[in-house]
Amino acid sequence: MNDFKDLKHKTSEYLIIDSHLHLGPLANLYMPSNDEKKVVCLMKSFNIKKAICANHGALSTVAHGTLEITGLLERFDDFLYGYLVFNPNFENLSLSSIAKNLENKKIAGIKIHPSWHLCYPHDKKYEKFWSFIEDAGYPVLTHSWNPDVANKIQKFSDPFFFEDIIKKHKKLKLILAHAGGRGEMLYRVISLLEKYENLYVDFAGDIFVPGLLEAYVARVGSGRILFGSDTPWIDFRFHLENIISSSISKAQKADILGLNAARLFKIEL
Amino acid sequence: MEIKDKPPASSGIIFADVNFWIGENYLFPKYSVDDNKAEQEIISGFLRNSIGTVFVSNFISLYYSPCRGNEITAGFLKANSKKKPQIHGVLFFEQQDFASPENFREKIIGKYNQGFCILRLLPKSHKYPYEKELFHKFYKVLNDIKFPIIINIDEMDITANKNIEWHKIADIANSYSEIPIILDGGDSKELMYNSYLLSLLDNFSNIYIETHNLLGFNQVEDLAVFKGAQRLIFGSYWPFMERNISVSRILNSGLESLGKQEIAAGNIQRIIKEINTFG
Repeated sequence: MNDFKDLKHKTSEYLIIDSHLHLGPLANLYMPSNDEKKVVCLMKSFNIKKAICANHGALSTVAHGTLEITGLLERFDDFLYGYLVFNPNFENLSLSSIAKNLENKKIAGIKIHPSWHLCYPHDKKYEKFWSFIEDAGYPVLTHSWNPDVANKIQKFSDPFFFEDIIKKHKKLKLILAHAGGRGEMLYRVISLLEKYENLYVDFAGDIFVPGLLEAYVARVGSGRILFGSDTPWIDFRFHLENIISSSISKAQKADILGLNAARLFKIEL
Repeated sequence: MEIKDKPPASSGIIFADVNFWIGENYLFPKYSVDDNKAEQEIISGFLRNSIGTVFVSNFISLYYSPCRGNEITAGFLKANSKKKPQIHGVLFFEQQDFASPENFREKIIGKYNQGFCILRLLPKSHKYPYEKELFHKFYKVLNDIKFPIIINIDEMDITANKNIEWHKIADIANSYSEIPIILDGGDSKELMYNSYLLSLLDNFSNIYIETHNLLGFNQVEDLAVFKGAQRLIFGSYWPFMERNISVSRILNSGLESLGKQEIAAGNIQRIIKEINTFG
């Protein structure tokens, strides 16, 4: 994969942080090219300075997931930051594991995935977590999706479920990954950002809707939009290309590509 | 507007787009392509993204009536038949054909002569069977003519819980080996590294994968290495997806130029050329 020559040149003008990366295997995905070293090398070659990773293992196993992410952070310590994962189905174990591992300076935030864990974010099993993480001051990256799609488990991740949570936990900084994912929801989420200043979005995944990025910037500015790729589910270069070729200013692109993430996650460069 | 033979883009690769939608999408105006803007969008795709051939699907056929939508598309094809870029139609199966399957051969030939080159099946949305046993009279005709079909895999997910009926596609491909079957990933993420793809490509040479959501890491390259670039067919998924991205997926892949050309347009052009209405 040696192409995208123009993109290499264009990305060199920006500080770039990918705030939504996954590494490692996953049982129901066949990814022959998902080799951690290969992914990291390629990202560096496209001028990505840092990436924040929620490894697949941490989504699927409490026991081994944390070990895997800490191992990855050691292995790529010049490049990777990590998300710990809160699994509400192992509420106490997961929370104590998070509390213990927040000492690691390379942990940038917490990832939650209501659809993956089949648990609504307003479920009782999340209550302690929301209070804990608000006090701890770490940003939370949550999966969010339009519930009205074929995939039934997306019903757990309706972006509007988070409205009551951010009302209650006013210091919480919450990133709605995928910005609602599909259809009209992608645009309805803008109204949430307009109401709540501690809310952020990324367009990680296969979201390349014409004019969407421009619509967000026009209504809420560029300060709360993050570059997140969802690699290896999506090759990160398409997201870089999409942002760089969008009809917004260079300063706005710089915010989205990395400056916002550096501020939000307190990443020193 | 006068269009020259070649688009201004410099890659030298000209695309044929099998997944381009026009018409009113009643669910969301932003995804509608107004009838009088459709031509403009096609020209824009040519000038900006080197899409020189477009196979149009019509939202009216999906949401209102396949019959009415096919008529509207036929009118659009007629009005644009001598223009560039080249425009073909995607025919939507009309349920009334179940009442008179003996007329299907004549009908499909007539539609082909109007400019329709691909048949889109919507068994779930339009509630009709597509199994090889229940649809066999139509598959027989399509097989004789070598007329390609396209099916969105969401249409094969009856439970709406990602239980795709891959075995039905395997049965159809196995029984009707002359029908090119194009799998369109639609809105679903199921084409991302689903191992069924490999097995289907491996076992049935008449199965093709449309590329718009093969955006996974190295995915196009891995599939091309596995069974060759000739099994992948470009589609933009406009207006749901930015054409810069779907085109870039092919242009910036790690494939040789020949492979890119095959995916961009060569494979679908070969399939269309092999349609034999005397079959």
